[in-house]
Amino acid sequence: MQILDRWIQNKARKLAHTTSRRSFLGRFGAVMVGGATLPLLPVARAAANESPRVPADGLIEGDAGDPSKCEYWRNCAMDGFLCGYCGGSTTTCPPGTEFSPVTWIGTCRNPADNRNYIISYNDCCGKSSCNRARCNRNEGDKPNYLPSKSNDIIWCMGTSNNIYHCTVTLVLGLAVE
Amino acid sequence: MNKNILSLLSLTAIICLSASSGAYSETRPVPVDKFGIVEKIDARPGAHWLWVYDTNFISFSDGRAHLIDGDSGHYFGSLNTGYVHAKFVLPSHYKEIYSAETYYSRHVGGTRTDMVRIYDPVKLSLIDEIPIPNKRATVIPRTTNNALSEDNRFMAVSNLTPATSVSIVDLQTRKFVGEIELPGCTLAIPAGGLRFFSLCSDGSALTFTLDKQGKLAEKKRSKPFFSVDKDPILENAVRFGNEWLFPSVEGMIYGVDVSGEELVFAKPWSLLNEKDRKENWRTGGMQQIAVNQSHHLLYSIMHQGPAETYEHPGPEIWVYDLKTKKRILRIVTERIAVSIHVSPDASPLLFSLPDNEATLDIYDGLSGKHLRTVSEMGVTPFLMETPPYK
Repeated sequence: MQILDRWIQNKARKLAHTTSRRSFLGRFGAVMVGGATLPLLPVARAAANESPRVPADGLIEGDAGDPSKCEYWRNCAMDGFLCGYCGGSTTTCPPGTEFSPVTWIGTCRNPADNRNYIISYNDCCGKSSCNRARCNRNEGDKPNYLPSKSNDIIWCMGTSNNIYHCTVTLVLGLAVE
Repeated sequence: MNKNILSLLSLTAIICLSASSGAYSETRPVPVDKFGIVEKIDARPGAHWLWVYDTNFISFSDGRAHLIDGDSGHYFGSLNTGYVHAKFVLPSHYKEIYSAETYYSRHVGGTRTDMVRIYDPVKLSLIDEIPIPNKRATVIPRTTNNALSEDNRFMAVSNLTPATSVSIVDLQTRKFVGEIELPGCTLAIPAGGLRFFSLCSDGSALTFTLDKQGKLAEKKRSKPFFSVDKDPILENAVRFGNEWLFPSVEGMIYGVDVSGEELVFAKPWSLLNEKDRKENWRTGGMQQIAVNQSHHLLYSIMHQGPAETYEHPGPEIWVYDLKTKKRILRIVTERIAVSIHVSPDASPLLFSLPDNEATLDIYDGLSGKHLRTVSEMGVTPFLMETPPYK
């Protein structure tokens, strides 16, 4: 999986380096519209899988099965405030905030079935920091020169403003093994 | 306060003064204070002055910068710096302060306005502002997001939308000049003259050079000099002579020499010996390393943990001689450090910000002895910088 990941990343980087920003934005925009707002290659790859049956969190022992904890399995690449503490949940934004369609992604192992899932970390935007349940785990996180893998960017993009409030974790699919 | 209350207060004050002058007729009365004085700051910064940049994680829209005297812990004053502020860029003359900032007309909504704001370092007040495109990179602050050309004339401001580019501002004419696209690369790091470089997602560097009007003259891409997959370098580089030094996730130091026509990449060296590696030590934090030019010393925040803990604060600061690349000191910190900075002079102070705690710890830069702690240091300070000192 890592080899394939790397191959796709390298291809994506080469494309980024040889493509002008305007044409990138054109294509990116097409992906955004045509792909139901799912950005970039790894996410599209995951979305192409059949909907996985994610085992119930109750099967997982300890904090990795508890959505209220930073140690919850989906939070492996998290860096932000957990929306479940801010009026939302692991998958929903708090009232009155805006769900950002542009996102960074991570790959987290689910202890219930020991399989890797692609997680989309979407920011909820338009209110100032929730400032509850800060969680900073960073597995697979990269510096900002690899934006799609960086959680140090305010990902409130494509929203009416870019004020950061909290972050949700959506399962996008099984990672390709 | 209405006039009646004021008169009453004045009358009371006069009665009190008369009463006390009777009781202490030998002593001179307290002179009447001058009204309306606002402090100014010495135009020549001291070697141990420090700007502490407070991104304010709790309310990103209310960023601040605080100026501190490291010798006494005295708080000189502050500037407000808007939404997800990174840091100033300080010209070598230090007659002005340049700051790329973002504001919303309704605090957390309404119209967004990005600009380069120009402040007076003596009065800590606004001189001018230059509108730039509303694309400024709103990211967890990096020391290398924005930069000045060597002649202090042009400022490059990193944009990330997530398409990456820089906005170029002419600080002399006070005008936005234009935007330079940096596909696949981000950051603006001074590289001599009118040249800058950024880091790219394939591990290479992209240099971009301006002409005398601030337009793009040349763009050049290097070969990859680090592995993004195996050992990514971190963006908070520090300057040592002609070299920029980058720490990496695996505790290596990557040098980029910017003195020649081409960037020259030094052979990376490790902060860790075999024993350190076995014990899983690595560099970490937000502003992970610092350099003192006078004694050619490099300081690094160190902690124990796997690769993904590279943003974690550290209980120790390790000090290296950059001539021998050997560790010469291990400092156990008062509070675990998330950001460090060291003054550039011959009697250096080492500054350390603890994680999520609005406190500044100050150490002797040579012995590592803890000297003092400045408390109530803003909200969530992230980065530090000493103003140019001559």
